[in-house]
Amino acid sequence: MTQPKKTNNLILIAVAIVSIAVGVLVSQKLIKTPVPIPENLSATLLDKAKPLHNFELIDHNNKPFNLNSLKGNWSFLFFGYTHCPDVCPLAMQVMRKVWQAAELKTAIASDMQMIFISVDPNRDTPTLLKSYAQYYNPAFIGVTGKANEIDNITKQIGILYSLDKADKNGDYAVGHSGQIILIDPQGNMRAVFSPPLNPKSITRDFIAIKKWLEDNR
Amino acid sequence: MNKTFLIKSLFGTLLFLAGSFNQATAHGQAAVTFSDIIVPEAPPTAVVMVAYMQIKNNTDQDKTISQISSTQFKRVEIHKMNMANGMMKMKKLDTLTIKAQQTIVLESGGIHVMLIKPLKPLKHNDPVTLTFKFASGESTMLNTRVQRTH
Repeated sequence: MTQPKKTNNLILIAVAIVSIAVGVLVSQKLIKTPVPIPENLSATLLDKAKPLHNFELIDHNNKPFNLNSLKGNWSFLFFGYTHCPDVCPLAMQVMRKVWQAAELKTAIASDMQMIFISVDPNRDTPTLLKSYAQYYNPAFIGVTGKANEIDNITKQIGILYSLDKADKNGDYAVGHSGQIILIDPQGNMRAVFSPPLNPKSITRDFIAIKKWLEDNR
Repeated sequence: MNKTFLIKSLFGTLLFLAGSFNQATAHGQAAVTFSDIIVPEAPPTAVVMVAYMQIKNNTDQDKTISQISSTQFKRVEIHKMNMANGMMKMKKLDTLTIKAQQTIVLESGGIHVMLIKPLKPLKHNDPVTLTFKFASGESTMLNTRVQRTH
C-alpha cells in the first residue's frame, strides 16, 4: 500500500516544479523591468506625466481647439504673438526644422502636430494666425481664444506672459516664456524644451522620450 | 564652395562696402563698418520684421547711433531682449553706442533693429534700405535684401 503514496508524492513534486517554472515565465512576461530614463537629454523631462484639464480655444479655422485636440498626437506647443519680431519667429523656425527632421522618419511625423498659441488675442485673429502658422509649414496650427481660456492653459503648463502698456502709436510688446512644451497623445504634459532652442537636440530628445514611453508601456 | 555661399559672400562684401562711413580712419579704413546683415523674411501678414548685423567701430572714439530710419517702414527702432521673471521681454533703446575699436553684435535673443509696419509686404530678395544716423552727425545708408531663412 505504500507504492501509490510514493507515486502521489512524486506527482505532487513534479506539479510544484512545473508550477514554479510556469509562474517564473509568466511573471517575467507580465512584470517588465522599467526601461531607464534616456540619458543626456537637453529637455526637461517631467518626473510624472502631468494630465491637462480641459480648455476651450479656437484654431485658425475658427474650429474649437480643446484638450481633445491634443489627444492622439504628440503636440509641440509654443506660446507667443505674431507681432513678435525675434523670439517667436525663431521658435517657429525651430519647430519647422524639428518637423522636417521628423518627416524624414515618417512613422514619427505621422503622429505629431505643431501648435502656435497666441497670448495676444486682441491682435491675433484666426485669419492672421492661419497666415502666420502656415507660413512656416502648411500643417502648423495657429490657436487663440478668450483671455481666460488662454490663462487656463498657460497656468496649467506654467507658461508666463504679460502685455506691456501700449505706446503712443497703440503698439505694445508682450513678454512671454520661450519654451516649447511637449504633450503626449494622452494629453499629458511630458517635457519642456528651453532656450536656446536647438532643432537637432529637440528632435533627438523627442525620439528618445517617445521610445522610452513606448518601451515602458 | 556652393553657389549660395558665393552669392552670400559677394553680397556681404557689397554690403560691407555700401555700409561703411564715408569718413575714414587715419589708416583709410571706414570709421564704422557693418557686416553679416540679415533681414529674415517674415510671414506675409507680419507687421514687424527684424534686422540683425554686426557693427564695428574702427575709431578711437565711441560711436552712438541716435536714429535708424527707412522709407519702407512706418518706424524703425532698436530693441533689446531681456529675460525677466521667466519671460523674454523687449525693451526699446533710444540710442546704441559702439565703444571705440569694439564690435557690437545684433542677434536673435539680444539687440535687434525692429522694422515696424512695412508699407508694402516684403518677401525674399526684396531690397531694404536703412539709414543710420550717428550722434556725431554722420550718417550711413545700408542696402540689403530680405532673406528667406528656410
